[in-house]
Amino acid sequence: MKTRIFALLTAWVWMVLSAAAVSAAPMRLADEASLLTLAEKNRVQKELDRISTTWDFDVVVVTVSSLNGKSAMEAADDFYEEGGYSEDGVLLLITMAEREWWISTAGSGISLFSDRELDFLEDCFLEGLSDGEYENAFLSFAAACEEVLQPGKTPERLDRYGEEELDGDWGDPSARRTPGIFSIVISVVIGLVAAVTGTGAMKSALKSVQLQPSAANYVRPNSLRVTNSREIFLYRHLSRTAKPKDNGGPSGSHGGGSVHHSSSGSSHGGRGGRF
Amino acid sequence: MAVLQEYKCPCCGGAIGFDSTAQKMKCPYCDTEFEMEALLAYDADLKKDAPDDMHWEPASETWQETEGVTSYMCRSCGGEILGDRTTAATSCPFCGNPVVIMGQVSGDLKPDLVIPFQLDKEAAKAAMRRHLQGKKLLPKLFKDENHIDQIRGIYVPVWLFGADADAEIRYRATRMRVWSDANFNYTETGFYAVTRSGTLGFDAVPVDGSSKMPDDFMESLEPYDLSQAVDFQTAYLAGYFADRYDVGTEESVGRANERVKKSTEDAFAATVHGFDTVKAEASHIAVKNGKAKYALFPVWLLNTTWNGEKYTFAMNGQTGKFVGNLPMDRAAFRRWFVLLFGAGAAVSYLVAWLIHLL
Repeated sequence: MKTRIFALLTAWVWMVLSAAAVSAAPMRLADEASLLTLAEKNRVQKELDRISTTWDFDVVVVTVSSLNGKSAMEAADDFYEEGGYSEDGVLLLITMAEREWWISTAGSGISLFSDRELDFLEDCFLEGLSDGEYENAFLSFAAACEEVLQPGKTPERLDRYGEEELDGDWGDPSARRTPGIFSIVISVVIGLVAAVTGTGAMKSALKSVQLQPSAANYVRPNSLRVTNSREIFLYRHLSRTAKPKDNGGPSGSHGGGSVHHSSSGSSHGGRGGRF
Repeated sequence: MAVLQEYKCPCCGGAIGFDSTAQKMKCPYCDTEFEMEALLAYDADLKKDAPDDMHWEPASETWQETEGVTSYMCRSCGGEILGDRTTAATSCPFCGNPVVIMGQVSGDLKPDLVIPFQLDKEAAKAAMRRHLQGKKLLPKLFKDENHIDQIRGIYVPVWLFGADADAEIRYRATRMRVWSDANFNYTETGFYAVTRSGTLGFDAVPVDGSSKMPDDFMESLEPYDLSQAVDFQTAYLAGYFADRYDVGTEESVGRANERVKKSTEDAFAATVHGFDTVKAEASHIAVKNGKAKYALFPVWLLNTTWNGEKYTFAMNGQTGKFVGNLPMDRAAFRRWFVLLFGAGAAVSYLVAWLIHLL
């Protein structure tokens, strides 16, 4: 009897706890446009949950049939704020009527997903989206997000943008999960500068004998008389450099990756386009 | 003809010297002090006595010069005083009495000005101790083991050049303008030839007139305050060492010109405004109304030995500015380098972590 009560009690506690867990966990896949089958939904949902809990960073996918007059940006920002997600995260919204997409970033995601990272994400999911392979597109988006979230790691596919872009608009490296190789290199350089300037100052304190370059101490006060001063213009040299262009991506147009404020006043980053 | 000048205390007959603290002549035996004005008259009287001295001390017996070494006979004890051909004031190695060799500071060799010593030997020793403090790379043993071999107050001969510099300087200057339109960033650089002419006056640019005293030492001890300079009197030399000049004005003026040229270019460059870069392209500087004065500047010179090597230090006898290069402890250098590197790198890495966490 006792064991039965105990078993019942345990089952009840387990049910309450799991129900609480389910209600507490926000839905990271909201397929309002019904683009996915149930099996596909499960696979995408599982993957989003896994990545979100591993990195403590919400990765969310939302599909809607229409924006109802809102802009894609507003809709994505509002969805993220109202969905009960954590402070830091990224959300991909697609709308079928307008055939638009928007990635909204929040919290540490704003600095983590800079133009370069957004380029990379776009590169990964847009093709699938255009081809109507939604499950594939969403899983690629999730995988790409995870790659960006990897501590101290430059996503492999980001590397092919080439050396000259490395010092370009990288995401803030300190916003990554741990300070990576970049921080180590900077620290080493700062250490070297500290050592060279510090010991240089100590060394120069030992040397106090040197020739004086000028006779500034012996200039008769107020004796400077400028009798003639002329400035002749000789020639002009004009150089121009082309402004760096956006490299478009397969979708054609897309919005900027700068920070903006949502209707509720909180900050979001991100960009969007058509598919 | 070399005549030795000694100052005897009119009170007790002891040899007296200049006292930098009292700024008077002071007898070390009976502590009597004498005003410099009184000594001027005393000096004049002594000069009147000179023919008599010459009469019973024939020149050939008093001094002889062989290979740059001149020997004098001390008039107090009869001991032989050795000096070189530029020695103007020294002391007798036997009786310690200060002597001034009149021939080295009279006639054409008479200095126009002298800055009397304001600081004494103890001040020089104290300055030396201060000089060794706070130097992290100085070998620890240097402070304990180095010993002062010799400490001397020396009047160093200096030429003071005053002149008006007539300058005509051409600068190449640039002004930049940056703007952009939808497709391009533009940078326009305008090149200008800027000319400035005018005059700039210099007073008393000092140049070391002694070949024995290194020029860099004398320039490092600058500046001296010339407002405290007084007309030369031999009495100021009593108790100190002094050299007469052996580098003439002709040879010294080159160094003064270098410094005058640099200062003139700098002063006129400061009148060129409104440009992004200004660089002197050509300068023509003519020196007018050049005058040279001969002065003696007070220097405390300290010689020390450590690990078999000689180190020289010098102190401005007027202002107390102390100079002298010190040896470096290589092990300490490496230690500090590693320590600073480690600390700098660790702190900045920590900061990176903190920024990341916030």
